[in-house]
Amino acid sequence: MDFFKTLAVAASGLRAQAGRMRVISENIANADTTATTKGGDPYRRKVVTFQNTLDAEMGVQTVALGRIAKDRSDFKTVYEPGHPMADANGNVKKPNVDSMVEMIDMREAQRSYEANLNVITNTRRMLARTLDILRA
Amino acid sequence: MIHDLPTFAALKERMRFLQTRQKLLAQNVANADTPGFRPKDIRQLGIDPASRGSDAARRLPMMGATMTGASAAYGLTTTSPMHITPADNNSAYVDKGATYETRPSGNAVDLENEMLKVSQNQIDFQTAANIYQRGLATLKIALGRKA
Repeated sequence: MDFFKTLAVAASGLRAQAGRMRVISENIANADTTATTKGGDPYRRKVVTFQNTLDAEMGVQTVALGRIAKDRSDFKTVYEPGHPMADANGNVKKPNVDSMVEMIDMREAQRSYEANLNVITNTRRMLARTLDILRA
Repeated sequence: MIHDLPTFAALKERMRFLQTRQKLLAQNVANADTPGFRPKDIRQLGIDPASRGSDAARRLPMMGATMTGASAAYGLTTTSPMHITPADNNSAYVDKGATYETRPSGNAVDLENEMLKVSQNQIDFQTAANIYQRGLATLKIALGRKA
């Protein structure tokens, strides 16, 4: 039955977007996490990748979270001589997390999540309508 | 059987078509952030005046936009049970022309457009289901029962 495949595809989309949301929340939560050892690196921003996977059993193209990669851009440095992790010049390395970028990412994830939910609602309505024929 | 009646057979086909289309639209929405993904859709049967002819000949060219001419009318011939037949998702074509934009990642899914198609699909399905139900009611009248 194609409707159940439809629901499975939409559910895979929900799962992927929820995983993306989790990574975004990790980034935001750690936006100020400095290194734990002197001279070490602070928290490095994580980036999600999406993968199109063919579900051979059902013959549909679902989506899954791919590898969670690290953002290779440079760390921010802040002059803070009193900080315990400050180097000889008084600079502290801060994570390469930009909260503005994370916010935008979050809105995008939310939008995609809602779109998938919409597909589920619609499909359920179609399914219910089919069953209504029996009740006539 | 009830599907020997042309109305019901046609409606059944229509509902099956809409079901498959819903599946494709769900794939498009789910992959709205997948790099390199291009949205798919099926052409509506019988709308295109260029696709007249017998029902089978009309339907086969819809299967895969790249098939043309004689090969389109017949598809692959299998002479052994070991032969692989193309999967049924070949009936979808990749939406090339009307996409709104392609993002730098190569993804061309336009969520608003897909949402529009999903609701359109649902309305079409409800229409078909309603007509089906009316048809059943008519049959019941013919049988002398209360509709």
